[in-house]
Amino acid sequence: MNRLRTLLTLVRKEFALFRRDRAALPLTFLIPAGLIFIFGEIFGLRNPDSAPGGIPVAAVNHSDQPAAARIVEALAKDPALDLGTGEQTESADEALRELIRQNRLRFAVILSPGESSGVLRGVHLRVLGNPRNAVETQTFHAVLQRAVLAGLPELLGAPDAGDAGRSTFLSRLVKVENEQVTGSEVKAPSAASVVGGWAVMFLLFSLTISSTSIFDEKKAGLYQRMLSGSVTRSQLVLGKFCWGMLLGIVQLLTLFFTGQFLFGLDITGRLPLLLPVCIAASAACTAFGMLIASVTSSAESARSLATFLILVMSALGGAWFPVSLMPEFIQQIAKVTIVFWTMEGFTGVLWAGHSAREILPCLAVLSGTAIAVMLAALWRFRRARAFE
Amino acid sequence: MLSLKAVTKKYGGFTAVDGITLDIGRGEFFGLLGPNGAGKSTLISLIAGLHTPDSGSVSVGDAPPGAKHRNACHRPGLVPQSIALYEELTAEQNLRFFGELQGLYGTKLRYRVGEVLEAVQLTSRRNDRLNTFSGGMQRRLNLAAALLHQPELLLCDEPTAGVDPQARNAIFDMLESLNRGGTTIIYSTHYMEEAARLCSRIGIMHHGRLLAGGTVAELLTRLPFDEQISFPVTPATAALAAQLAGLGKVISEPEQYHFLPSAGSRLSTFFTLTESHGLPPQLFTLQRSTLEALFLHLTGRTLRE
Ligand SMILES: Nc1ncnc2c1ncn2[C@@H]1O[C@H](COP(=O)(O)OP(=O)(O)OP(=O)(O)O)[C@@H](O)[C@H]1O
Ligand SMILES: [Mg+2]
Repeated sequence: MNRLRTLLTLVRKEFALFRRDRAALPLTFLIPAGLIFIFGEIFGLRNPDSAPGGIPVAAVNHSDQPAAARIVEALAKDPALDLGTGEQTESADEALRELIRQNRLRFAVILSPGESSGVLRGVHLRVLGNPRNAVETQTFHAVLQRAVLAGLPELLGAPDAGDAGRSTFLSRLVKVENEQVTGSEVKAPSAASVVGGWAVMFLLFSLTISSTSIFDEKKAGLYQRMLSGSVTRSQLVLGKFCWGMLLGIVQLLTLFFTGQFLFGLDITGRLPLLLPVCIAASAACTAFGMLIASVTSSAESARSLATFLILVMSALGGAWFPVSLMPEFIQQIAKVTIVFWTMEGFTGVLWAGHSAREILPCLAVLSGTAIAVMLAALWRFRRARAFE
Repeated sequence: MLSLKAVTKKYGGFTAVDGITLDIGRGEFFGLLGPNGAGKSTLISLIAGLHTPDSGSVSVGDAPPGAKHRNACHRPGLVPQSIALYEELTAEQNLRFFGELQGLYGTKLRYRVGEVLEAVQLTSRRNDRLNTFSGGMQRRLNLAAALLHQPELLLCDEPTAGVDPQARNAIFDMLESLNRGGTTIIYSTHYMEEAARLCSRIGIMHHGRLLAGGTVAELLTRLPFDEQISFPVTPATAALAAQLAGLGKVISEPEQYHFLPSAGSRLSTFFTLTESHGLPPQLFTLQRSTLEALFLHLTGRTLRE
């Protein structure tokens, strides 16, 4: 009972300090919410149907293959592109180049009957482009890749995507295609990953910063004062951990509800599954923050190490763009990051509509990581006499 | 109250506290005097139970060595050398937080917070954040936070660093009144004057060792006696002054005698004489540098070099 009271006192203290910290509130809630809003606008998540722009792209189909038609169809469907298939359809390459130079088109896709080689048997794909904007280029290539995947079953002569007997590789790709291209059940299909991505990145930032308060408290002699009372070292660590979890869960839910408000993500309906993922992710990220604090010797060095690791993990783990768009070997590396598993959980629940059973592995990985990382941090704290 | 037996504490290969044996009785005001790096803070941490000694034993009160007291008032109150308070929180929030950690809740907590704020004269600032306080006010609150649970033993690690003379006197008065109320106090400082004014007993620390310990008078008997001693002119001291003439030179002023001992005489002789006249040691003002000289004598270096 008394121990619980002590813990509560410690957590309340963290809350009081958090409220007093001018930078904490914006960094935890406002900046990520702002970024989610901005990136949502860039990707046209708010109202995909009436989006004014889209990237101006032309598709010219010289092929009579059904696969080629599927690809063009898929490109046309994608809200991120503004596909002109009308008057430009017959245009010659030179006319297309001119349009690109004049900035009336950003990319042109030319499909022609090709030799029977490679995976894209029968269709030859050429892309003319002006990569003036990195986000546009990125988006365009992602969309194109998906469009090609849409045509893949036809190309491979396997029109029914539900058939058994295909390689697992293909089934994975085709599954992506189904969700992305049709995407009828999920409103704002990529909102889940935009919101989840920024949320997890800022979760890591705020929890690491909260862990680095250990250095300030130690320097001021606050632990000496606390430990000379009835508080134990484990209570100090546990207090920090509980506060980190609490802050993380509140932060994630706030950002997800922002996503619901802005892009119509269904958070309320998915809460029973989303909450466990948020709890496990907060635990893992808090543990990460503690580990950083335990292997560094000052708040400054902890913050620089954390910033570096968080950016790398976010890039590799799929917080910025889907891991499935990355090269195979990076996809393998991604799996050792907390960000990857957190994103798996978020997109699993919000996008792929996974059931409780399907998110279990990801919950297990996150909780296991939290425990293992926390144990490593505790061991380091003990060795470095962090609380003396 | 407190018993240290051959206590040693090492940081890596460096010995910060080196085989200190010390007994401090209930109600004592014990001064730990030593230069930077002498090991005062380390010794205080050992007494507060923040470190465990590498060898030897520390026991506080009647608990077995190394054990933590469950009852709050038996746990020592620690005034760390640094301002161990949250800058962003108000005086009251700080005190409430540390009070709760000492097991105080509800009305008892509110009452104690009010009491210690009053004691350090910060009641009017209770709702101000610490980072709006002056250095001296922060020091006072730093002391107040250690008093919340009414500890029987108070460990003060340089509680007056950076405090102006007036505030320093306020702290002294407060500590003296606590001591009169029965609190045992251990007080570390660099300043001879502070130790001489406050402490009933002084330990001189250097390089992790206790070089000498005792009352100011006891310590001074160890010194070759060549300093000036002043005492007031009263009927009781007139006889002493007459006797002292044989030991050195006595200058009499209307209100004060000044005694300049001749070379080779010892301070102990002087104190034997004063005792035989039934005169308390407080009557005699030793020249300021006397303890300073003792330190120089013991260590071969000045205290703040
Ligand atoms: N955590 C630590 N790690 C390594 N060495 C330490 C540590 N703390 C203290 N020391 C060393 O132990 C010695 C005693 O330090 P301590 O802080 O006890 O001295 P002090 O008497 O309190 O000095 P000051 O008057 O400057 O406060 C010093 O030489 C110091 O360098
Ligand atoms: Mg010290």
